[in-house]
Amino acid sequence: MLDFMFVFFAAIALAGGLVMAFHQSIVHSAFALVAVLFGVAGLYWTLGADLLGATQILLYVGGVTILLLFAVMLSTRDAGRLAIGRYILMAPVLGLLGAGLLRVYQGVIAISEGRELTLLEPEPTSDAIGQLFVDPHGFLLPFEVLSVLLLVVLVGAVTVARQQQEGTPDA
Amino acid sequence: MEALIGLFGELFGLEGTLALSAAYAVCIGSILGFVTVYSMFAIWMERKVAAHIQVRMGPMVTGGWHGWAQSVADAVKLLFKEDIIPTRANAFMFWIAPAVVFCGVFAGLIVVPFAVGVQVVDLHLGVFFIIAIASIEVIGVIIAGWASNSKYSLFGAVREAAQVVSYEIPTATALLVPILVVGSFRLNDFNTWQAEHHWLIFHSPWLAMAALIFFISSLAGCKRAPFDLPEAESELVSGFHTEYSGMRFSFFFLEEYTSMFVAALLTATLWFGGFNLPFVDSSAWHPALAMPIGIVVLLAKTFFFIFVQMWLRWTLPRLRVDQVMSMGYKYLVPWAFVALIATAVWDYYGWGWLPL
Repeated sequence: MLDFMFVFFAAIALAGGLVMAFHQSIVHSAFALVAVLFGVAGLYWTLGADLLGATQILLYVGGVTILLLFAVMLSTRDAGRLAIGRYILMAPVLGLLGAGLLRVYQGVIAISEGRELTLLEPEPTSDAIGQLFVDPHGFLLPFEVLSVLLLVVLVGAVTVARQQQEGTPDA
Repeated sequence: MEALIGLFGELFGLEGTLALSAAYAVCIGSILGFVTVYSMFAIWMERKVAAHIQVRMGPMVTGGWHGWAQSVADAVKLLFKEDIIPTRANAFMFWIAPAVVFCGVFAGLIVVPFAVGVQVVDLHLGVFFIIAIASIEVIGVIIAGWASNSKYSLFGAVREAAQVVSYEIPTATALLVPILVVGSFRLNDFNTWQAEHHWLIFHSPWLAMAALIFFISSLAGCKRAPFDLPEAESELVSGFHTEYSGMRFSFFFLEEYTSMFVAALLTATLWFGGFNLPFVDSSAWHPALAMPIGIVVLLAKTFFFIFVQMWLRWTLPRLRVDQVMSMGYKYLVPWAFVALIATAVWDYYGWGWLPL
């Protein structure tokens, strides 16, 4: 059952990724990104990281991509055809990056080759993650630092947005 | 669920994955059937409630007794209607949007315990899963608004996305308050906790406040009046589903009533005792007795909250866009955080209603 679900979600993610990379319309690419993120969330779930999968759906599928879709839909006309020619110079850099990634996968496969895989029944992870977040020897400090950073970003964004509005009457 | 798998094994000799798939198919099919019938009933109920609030009679003719068959007749009409796809619309996106919208809300129902043992999956992340999977609905609405190639649809979709994404914050924060007290995401744990102690609404003033915040922001999440800006008829024709007709249109209706049901169900399960009766200890009852009574009790509580949602819809005027945003960000979000932090402190010291 888990094998089938893994293949199912992997297929969603892969198909979404292909559409995202090759579709001419940027809005379609953004919608395909939703499918990719959903498929990856499903993969997390089948691999036992249930909290991570649900968080991915809540934050990325339901939050971040919506902001992205807003930006794309409201800022481009005629569904925004991508001018690929302008980005052709990026191709060698991206190609090198892809080659590097392939090398890493090769290394991973070489390490894991010949090893016995033991499939465990996935356990709920939320308790352990919650404990780690409030444990001073765990991730308490990074968690708090990140929270402060996000707060600073939020205040900064509001400040920037308000400065641009100066001159217009305050609503 | 396990009982069903066993039953399939005995009856048809199914084993392993096959029995599991068959059991899931039966469970999901029965929930789908329930949701469809419930939606027809809820639409009839909404029309009657609205009519009586406005001192009218509502549907009275179809089917004889108080027009009970009105929704059935409407559903049949919608089935036979021509399925129109606008020429300039994006056909595939237009086709997939109602399905995405409905799936997001419907998927939440599979983790809900209707009575002892009446649950498809007893998921560890129950509440979190419902909130997470429901956020897919927004994507479907944006797809619908964009693919229709109509400015009213797009405006409706943009309003909906802004509203729902904003109100996810107070909804999720208010849900954290009972989760903090019970110490679990699992919906069954809320039922057992409230059977052993008391209903969470009576736990402390902060829990009552969290219930109120959750109920208000879930109204906004369901796009119900007074938060029905995404489909404001007088401004946007009918918002993001302007271009839809026939069965596709009815999927948006199904989604709206299903999300009302999920919101009312969560309120009943998390704060109002779930399927437990007040003052009666049902834990020792025989499953054959506890099961039907549990379902009836939970549905009665749920329908009470659905009635309150309808009541509010037909008594309150619609908010303006800026009022919706200031309501969410200036009032609900800060007070939800106050309730969360206050509950953490109160329960640490073990206080009750008054800090004695």
